[in-house]
Amino acid sequence: MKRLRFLAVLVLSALFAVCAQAVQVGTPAPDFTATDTHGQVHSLSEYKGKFVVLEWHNRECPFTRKHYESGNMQKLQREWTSRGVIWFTVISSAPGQQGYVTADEENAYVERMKADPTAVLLDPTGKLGHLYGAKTTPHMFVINPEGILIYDGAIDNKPTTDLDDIPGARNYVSEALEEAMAGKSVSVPTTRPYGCSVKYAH
Amino acid sequence: MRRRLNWNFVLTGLIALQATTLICRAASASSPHAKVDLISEANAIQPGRILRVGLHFTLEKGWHIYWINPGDSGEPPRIQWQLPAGFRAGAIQWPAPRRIPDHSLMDYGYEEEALLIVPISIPSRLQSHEIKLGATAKWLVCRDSCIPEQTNLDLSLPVRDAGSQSGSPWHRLFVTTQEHIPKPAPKQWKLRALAEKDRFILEVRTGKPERQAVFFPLEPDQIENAAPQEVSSYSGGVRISLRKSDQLMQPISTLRGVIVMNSGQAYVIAAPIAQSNSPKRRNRP
Repeated sequence: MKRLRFLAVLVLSALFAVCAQAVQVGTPAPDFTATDTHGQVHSLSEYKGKFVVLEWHNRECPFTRKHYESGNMQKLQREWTSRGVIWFTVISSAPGQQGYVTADEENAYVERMKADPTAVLLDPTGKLGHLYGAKTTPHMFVINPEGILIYDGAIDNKPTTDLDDIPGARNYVSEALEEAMAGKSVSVPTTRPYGCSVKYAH
Repeated sequence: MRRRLNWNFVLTGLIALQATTLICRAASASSPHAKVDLISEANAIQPGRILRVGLHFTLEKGWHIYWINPGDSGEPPRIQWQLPAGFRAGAIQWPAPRRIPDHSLMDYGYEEEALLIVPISIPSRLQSHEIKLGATAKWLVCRDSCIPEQTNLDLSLPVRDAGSQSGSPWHRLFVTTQEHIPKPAPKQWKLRALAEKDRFILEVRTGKPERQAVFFPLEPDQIENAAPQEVSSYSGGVRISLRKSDQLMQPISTLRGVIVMNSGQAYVIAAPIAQSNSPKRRNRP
């Protein structure tokens, strides 16, 4: 009887483990392969030795627009890529859903908004989004040079659509990168992401 | 290229439209998806008393606005008041929300109609015979996509003595909304939440079996919003099994939220967390 109970507990824990989030801070970030808007294929494992930022994006989402219309996201992209960080903007909107774009449309947007990511990865099947458990736009992930996920969550601590909230906000992505680059552990490794839901295929 | 130019044109139009809404002040404002009125429970202002006013949202079918804790996405409405000297606005009294699925996420908010009541304390001496209350409201209205909207609203009310005050046409709506505003949990209720590895078992002992209950967290990172809530009734009340939030890194001491019972009545609860190591041991002879 006791053994049965033990087995039941084991099975249940295994089930919970499956249900739990896709990625976990402090563990290796899952490898992926994705194509960017210029047709180039990237895999995470190519960038071992560098910090990698993943930014989930939907240009029509008011929370994303807050960070692009204020120039905040572009500033972060420029600052960190200039310091050797690989910055991937990821679009997981399914065809027909808000934020879905073709490669050409996205390239025009990047040019118009003066965005400066390393590349924009197109993920219309949602494979990459589901692999990382990306919930909202924006939803940010930071991976260290050893391939360990060191940050998963919101871009900052002001979960609003108000442009006025950007100047006083505490940016968790910059904080994680600064700390990790200084050899410190990340003081806020995970937060609740805020924004619009990622518009995955139904 | 031509298409993009057209979009710019549309955007400029939208911005212009928004600017127009900003300039025009009224007790009522309409956007494509939400009609918002600033309304009062009473038809006059009484010196020294509390006046209940509210933002009344009438939403287009399929669209929603958010509760104080919006859940996995969205943001709650915000109000900035412009009030005469001595007037003070209290906090929004949020009615109990609904669970609103949003792709793989779960939001908490209101559909169809919502009244966000705000108590305004009135100074005991008033010079003028008419008082104008002003509010700037900002809200996010969502269906598949979200649109931030904002408007300025005005409400003018005469000043009257105690005897001559009566209800406004909105009085009834304030009364029915009041029924959905969470009350403090009754003193005789016993609340606790057993912390298991991945779940909290919230136990609400009311003294009688409770058929149904829904829990809405007031803290954003305590439970996984989208996980189904497993409700089990027992002789003394109800238990709800809630999945812990993936963002919950440190143990917590209290599970805070609003519980809506089968009757529709909502209560604010704070359930102390108890560690459940091996509850089954008690069954051993």
